[in-house]
Amino acid sequence: MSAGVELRGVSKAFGPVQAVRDVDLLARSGSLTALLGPSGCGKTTTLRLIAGFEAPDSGHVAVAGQTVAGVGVWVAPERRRVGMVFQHLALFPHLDVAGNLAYGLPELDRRARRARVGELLELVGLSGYERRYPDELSGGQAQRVAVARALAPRPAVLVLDEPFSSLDVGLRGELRGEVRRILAAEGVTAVLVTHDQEEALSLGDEIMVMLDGRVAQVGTPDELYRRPATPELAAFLGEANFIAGEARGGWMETDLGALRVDAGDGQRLALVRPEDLQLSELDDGLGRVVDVEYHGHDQMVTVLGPFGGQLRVRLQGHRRLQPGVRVQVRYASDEVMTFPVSDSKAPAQAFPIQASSPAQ
Amino acid sequence: MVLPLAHLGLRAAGGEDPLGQVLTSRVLDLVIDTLSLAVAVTVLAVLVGVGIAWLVERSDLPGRRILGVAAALPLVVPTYVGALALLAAVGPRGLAWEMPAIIGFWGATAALTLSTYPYVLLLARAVLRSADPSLEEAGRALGDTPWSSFRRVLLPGLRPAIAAGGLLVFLYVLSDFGAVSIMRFDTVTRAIYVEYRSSFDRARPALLGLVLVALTLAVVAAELRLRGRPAPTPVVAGRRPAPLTPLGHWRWPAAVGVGVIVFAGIGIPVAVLGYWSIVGSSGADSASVIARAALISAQVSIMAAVLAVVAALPVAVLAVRHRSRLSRAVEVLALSGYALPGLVIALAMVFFAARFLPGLYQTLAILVLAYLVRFLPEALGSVRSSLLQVDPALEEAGRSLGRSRLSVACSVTFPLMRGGLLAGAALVFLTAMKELPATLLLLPAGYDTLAVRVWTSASQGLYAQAAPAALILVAVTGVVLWPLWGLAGRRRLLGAAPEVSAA
Ligand SMILES: Nc1ncnc2c1ncn2[C@@H]1O[C@H](COP(=O)(O)OP(=O)(O)OP(=O)(O)O)[C@@H](O)[C@H]1O
Ligand SMILES: [Mg+2]
Repeated sequence: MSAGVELRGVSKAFGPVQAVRDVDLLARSGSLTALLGPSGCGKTTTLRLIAGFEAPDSGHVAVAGQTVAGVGVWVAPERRRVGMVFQHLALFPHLDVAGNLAYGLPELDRRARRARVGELLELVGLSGYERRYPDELSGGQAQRVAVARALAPRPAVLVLDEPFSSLDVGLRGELRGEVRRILAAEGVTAVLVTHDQEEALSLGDEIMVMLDGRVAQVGTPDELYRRPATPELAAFLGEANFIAGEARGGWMETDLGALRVDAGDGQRLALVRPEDLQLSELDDGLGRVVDVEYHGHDQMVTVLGPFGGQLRVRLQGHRRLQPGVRVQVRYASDEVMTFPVSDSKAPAQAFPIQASSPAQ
Repeated sequence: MVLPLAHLGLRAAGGEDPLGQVLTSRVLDLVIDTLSLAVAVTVLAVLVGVGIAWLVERSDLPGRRILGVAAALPLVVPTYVGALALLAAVGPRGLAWEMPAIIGFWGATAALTLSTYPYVLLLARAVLRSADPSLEEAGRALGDTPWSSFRRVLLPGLRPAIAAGGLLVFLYVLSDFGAVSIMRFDTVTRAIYVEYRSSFDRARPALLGLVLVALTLAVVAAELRLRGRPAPTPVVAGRRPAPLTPLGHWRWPAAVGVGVIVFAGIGIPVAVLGYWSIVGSSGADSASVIARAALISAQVSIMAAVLAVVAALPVAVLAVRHRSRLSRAVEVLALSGYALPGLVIALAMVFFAARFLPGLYQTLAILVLAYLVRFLPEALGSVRSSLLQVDPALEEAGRSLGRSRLSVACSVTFPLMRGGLLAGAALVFLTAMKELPATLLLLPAGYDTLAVRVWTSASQGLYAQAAPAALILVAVTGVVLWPLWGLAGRRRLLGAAPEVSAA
């Protein structure tokens, strides 16, 4: 289990803007790390530090076990073996597809180059497109060419900057799976930037969440979703209800009933995901449906409790509920994760803490 | 760049009572006359240039395509040829009818406007073409009438083009020598030349030269303030063409108006020159003399064009990709050629070559060198703006694929800039072919260019004798430029060809 990419205490400022602060990242060789965070949090800058288009102010960067930037060390981008897929692809408009793919293979003889180009086109499912120019490709095709071009010189690491952001939703899902397969086939370590949580959760072996230039949390998708470090992160990664209450002897008394908690006594904030709640229509239920976002396969129902608090509930495979219906809500999982109340900074306003629902 | 100024300073200080001489009423008169001419021509050229640009790009003007192409053609007519033709057609004892008032200020204004408005036209057109029509539509959706959307959306977008084009025209007038001489209107440039040729007092022309440089610098500074922040217009793929504004009743009058201007700019010169060439004159240059002159003209101009673009490349790369105090200084230095009228550069070259590089004096090389100093800014403008349109991400993509900086420049950046490089070269070629004052001073004995042939005959009043050379000059320039412009506009060159572009 060697390190494909390693960042240690890396910082980078642009004038007064501290774009990246003291970032540590360890990406296993052959893994896919998703870099997730809101706009302007330093994701692109981190990628460019790995690729060698920015020099760190402090800290060091290693690629495939070799230091490429650090005190007294600087390896030029073309000698790092880091391929890059750019946000707007940056295909060479004056070269056709074959020309773009062959660009990174100058030292191969003609035969070998042709063979590698053919192999890559097959890998991305575009055989026969050699003579097309970038402006004659669809968005998805151009996307695949960009990935293939970056893979051509067999880089140790591939960095991708929001590679799917310019595609429509359907195509995005399709290409995600495909890119995953291609990366696995080439056995390359990949770091992918996105600000789409769903994309990060579905693609990444590991996810690194950045906020304001810092690493907020690193972990597997499951860890991040189930055990976020702060309420802020919980809200960032998927929908969340926060319920405040007092824990005593491993239990916390709430409007949802007594919940088993993971912490000692004291004021706590429980994280309740919408899919952990169950809802049943009941004429004398204390909750009232105020809003329904219908998605077909499921629906997100907003329920107003008796004390004015709101809960978001995900309802699977059910006929569409109508606003105004009286319902009863129940917690349907074993233990809830809680945060100490002092942690509840930002989301306290954005999400209802005083969530309430019919007592049972 | 520094040399010419130093030279002028030295020379001027060497004379008697330099300050007293500047302040004579004659010099003041000259300055006032020169400025009035420059302002009149600039205002007219901007109005005509922007007007035609809008008509052919954004209105339903009949024949807008043909008129659009024809309207740029006066660019190949040197000012002195245009002035000559105008004079011959409508001046005293004119071929068509007589308008004696054409001599002097109004004649010079008309001739200079007709041969300079294409600079504004081409710049404004490039902007109108690349401007995103959805901006105007957004304006319209917010309640703008067509006129107020032009004023509030298009005009601010056009401002850099108007400023750059206006500057080009203004400087052109300040340094013009041919048209004002033919129209017998005294400007500073003409006075410098006349004094330099007619007297041995070298201090006075140098002093006048400094006055000219001061005027020019003031204008350049004013332009820099006016230009403001250049808004890069990203070229959006697959954009819809802009909708055309219907002109209604004005369709035909507008077309006739544009037609008249275009005819005066290119039709009259060609017709007059053609007429004279056919009628003939006993003293006309023989075909072999003209052919030889054409060869020299083309040779010198092509060399200047290639050198200027090659020299502009590193300056542009520094200025665009490696912004720093130093790169800014290099750029300003390169641009300062703008501020130095051809005559001033030529005077300085003569002085320094004669003194320090006698081997260079009286060779074509010194002429090419003068052209280079003078036209580098023009090349730089094109090269720079085409570099600005090359996405830096493309270069980074090249680096991340394992290619060195230089290899990426040669395989990605320069090929993508080809349109702009060709446009820059074309512009320098065109201007060098027409250049007169520096050429007159620096051309080695025994050599002739087309421009000098035309001038030699015309300045003695032998118009018919000048005609064949002038016709060939117009033809050669047009013939060389045609394919260049075609090439520059070709597909896959990203339209990175701002047809003419000032710094
Ligand atoms: N070359 C630069 N010069 C100055 N500031 C910069 C530069 N590049 C980035 N920044 C600043 O650094 C911060 C981080 O930028 P970065 O591009 O890394 O964000 P990002 O996370 O990729 O955002 P997005 O999701 O919007 O792409 C921002 O505040 C940005 O304005
Ligand atoms: Mg980014």
